[in-house]
Amino acid sequence: MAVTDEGLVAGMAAGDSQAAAAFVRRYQARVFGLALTIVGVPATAEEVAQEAFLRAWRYAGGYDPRRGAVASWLLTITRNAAIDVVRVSHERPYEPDTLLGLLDPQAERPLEGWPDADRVRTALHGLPHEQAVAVVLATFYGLTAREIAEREDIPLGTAKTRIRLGLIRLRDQLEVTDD
Amino acid sequence: MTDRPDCEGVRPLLAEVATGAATGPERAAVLLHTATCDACRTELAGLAKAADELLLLAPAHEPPTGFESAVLNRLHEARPARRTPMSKRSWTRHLAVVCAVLVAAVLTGAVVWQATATDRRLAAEHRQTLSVAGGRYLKALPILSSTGVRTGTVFLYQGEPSWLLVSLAGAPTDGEYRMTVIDRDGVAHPSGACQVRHGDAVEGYPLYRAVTEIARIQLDGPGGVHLEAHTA
Ligand SMILES: [Zn+2]
Repeated sequence: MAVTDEGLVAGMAAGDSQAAAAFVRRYQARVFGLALTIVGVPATAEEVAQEAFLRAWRYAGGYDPRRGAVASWLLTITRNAAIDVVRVSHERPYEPDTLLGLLDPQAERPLEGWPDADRVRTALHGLPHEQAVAVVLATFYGLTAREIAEREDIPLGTAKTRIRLGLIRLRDQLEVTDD
Repeated sequence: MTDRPDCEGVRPLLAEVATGAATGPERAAVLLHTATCDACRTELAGLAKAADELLLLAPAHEPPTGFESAVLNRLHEARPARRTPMSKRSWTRHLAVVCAVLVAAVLTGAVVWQATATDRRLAAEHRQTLSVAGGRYLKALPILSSTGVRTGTVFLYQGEPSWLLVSLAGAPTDGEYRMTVIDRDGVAHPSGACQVRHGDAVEGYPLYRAVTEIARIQLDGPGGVHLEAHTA
């Protein structure tokens, strides 16, 4: 029987390198995939992904299951590591259209075996398109409302409203489908 | 930043704090408010959870060969953060809560703080502060002049995302102070600037590295004024 995600994280918190190895094997494609989505350059994404696992290893003791699943905890760490790199380099090497393609209901489903992702995809598709775009840009790339306003050529207040209404609606949709 | 924000002022900012897109001062204002407001804290936690779950949509992509062994090599060199014994742990948590109250004190203008029994009792009422936005801990470091005079406090908040708040009171000169974060490997990271007026400044910044990786913070102002805060 496979060890649960929570079991692997507990093992890492105790310094168990076998748990760490299993954890890396289980999640490396998702961590690298997210890093690549944000930074856009494979070599940089590999560095970011390594950094993310290193942080997860260091902070495993701080994981709190009440705040969310292991997958979203790890991906949040990955996102932050990726944004660190993007900000420090003062470049925006990503191609947002690749990510925004995720919003397309016709997009192929790249996450077979991850039913949680389907649930989130459905919730995201429930949003008005412009709200979904604002939420995705803020969440994945850490873009501020001001940066989104510039990118989308809309007033700052509109950008703030889109992020806020979009995220509230997303939260409500996810809560409905939460067991 | 002068007035303590109320629910109405904080609600529009919660989503941006949840996605990590809020600026340092906005984040500080929100965390200050949610430290004492159950409703807004619950709202923020719900929004942050939704934002985090969105990341599940990133397409999976197999890393290049050798990735796994490269990661494991790095892990072997770095030990995980050990769980501290219970007594130490609750003491640390207590200290962090005190620091949270310090932030509140700084933001509301009561810059001078003394470790009185009243403050500690107040701190006990703010126990949940750390759970806000996934915060792991908050650290307060004295800022000292080259002659060892205390001129302010740096607050380091480890969370998702992390932030840093500089509070100066009685800085020797007015004008722009450049801030540099020096990590444990001795690498200096220029991290923005703050404007000092009448010797005072309160400024928040996003923090792009783990608090545990920071060795010291240095502030360089007009006329060669040099201030430092050390973590150890
Ligand atoms: Zn409130």
